[in-house]
Amino acid sequence: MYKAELVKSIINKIQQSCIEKLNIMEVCGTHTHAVSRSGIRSLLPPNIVLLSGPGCPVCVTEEGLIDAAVEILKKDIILAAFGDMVRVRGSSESISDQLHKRKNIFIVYSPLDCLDLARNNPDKQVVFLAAGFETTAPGIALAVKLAYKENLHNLSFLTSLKLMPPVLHSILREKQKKIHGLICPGHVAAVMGAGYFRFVAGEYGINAAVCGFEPLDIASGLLFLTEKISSGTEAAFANLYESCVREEGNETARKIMMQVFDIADGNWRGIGEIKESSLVLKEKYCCFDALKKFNIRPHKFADNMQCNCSDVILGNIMPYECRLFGKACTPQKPAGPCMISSEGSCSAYYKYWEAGI
Amino acid sequence: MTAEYQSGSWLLLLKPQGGEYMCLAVPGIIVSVNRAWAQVDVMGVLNTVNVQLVDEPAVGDYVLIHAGCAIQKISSDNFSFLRSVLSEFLREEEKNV
Repeated sequence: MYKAELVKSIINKIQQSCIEKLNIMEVCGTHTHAVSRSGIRSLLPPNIVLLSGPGCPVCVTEEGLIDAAVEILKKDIILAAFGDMVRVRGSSESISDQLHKRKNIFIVYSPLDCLDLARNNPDKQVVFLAAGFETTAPGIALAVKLAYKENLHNLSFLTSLKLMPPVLHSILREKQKKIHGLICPGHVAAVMGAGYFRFVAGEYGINAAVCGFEPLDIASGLLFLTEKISSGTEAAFANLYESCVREEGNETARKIMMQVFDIADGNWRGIGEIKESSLVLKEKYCCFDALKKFNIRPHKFADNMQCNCSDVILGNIMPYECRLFGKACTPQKPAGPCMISSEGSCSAYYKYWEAGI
Repeated sequence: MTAEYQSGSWLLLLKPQGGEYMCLAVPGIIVSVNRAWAQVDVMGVLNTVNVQLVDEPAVGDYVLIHAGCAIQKISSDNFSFLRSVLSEFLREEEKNV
């Protein structure tokens, strides 16, 4: 039996089993895109609503940090960042808006690429805009450690590293949200362990499953959640991505991460401050902190986005319910980070909405 | 993977290796290991990957790669839940033949 047929069979079973309206949150932006791309969203019965979540690093990076990067770029430095980070606007400008000023901006795939940049340009300051969640944090920590070991003092890091559980606590505490199930990020769990998300069932009585990103993974996850929710039994948690996710996760990666970072309060774009939700450089590595090196203090902004990205990532509305979606906000002229980011919900809905999926 | 800075240049795009999404990780099989780095076969393409985040990387290990680093070893076992789902559907398929 081909995988596509299996997915359809699973969706058929979901349609037979589910009798009431269910809201299931796909926490990770990569899951949102996978659901859209595979067509699963269009196959689900209308009573199953998939809500977007806050798992998009570009979408939740605070405006003040983008502004800090733009400010640092006024000096003759090399700025490196992951792809989408250069396109998202801070309070007014994006990093890519600086291109016409002949600024040196490098898009990198790996944080370790910045070490090469620093080694190859010893007379230049290199700043890496290090954004991500727990999946990316260990690689960034490794880059910091290697920079320290090699005395690469022309390299510094502008960090926007966020943790999943605190923002999920923040969302799930609002009982009126009525989220009945959670698809948990598979690759965050690969690093942190399956048990990292067990609290969703244990503390909030909400069924949750760690899932992979293939259509079969997602369909199986949805089947698990809908069957558990429909049964009315005690909330369950399951690791459905056992090939990549172990209960204990990757202890080596976590150890390196916590050797380099401390946990601190974090500022989330569109959400605000969340206690103990971000990773910041330890004192030992403070010389690699770009904010300290360039003496910049990021401003905090109230949610001033004209679009409804904050409601989208909190699962309050669907992307197409934003008044700007598809009209004043498109991938060609994005109004907010959810349309800019390749993991943003709005970009997923727009890309596959046009295709009729 | 090195980056070459040319005076006056801007927005030099380094060759991406793998998925376009920031949180996505791709599986690969280790072909060779040299201290902190390994050559990993990802869908037939060899990639240079840092393996310092996993324990005792060895030739033949399947790993999950994210942002140029192996972040976890992949078990060759199938998902237990997925396996039961597949078994059930295959049994139903056999009945319909």
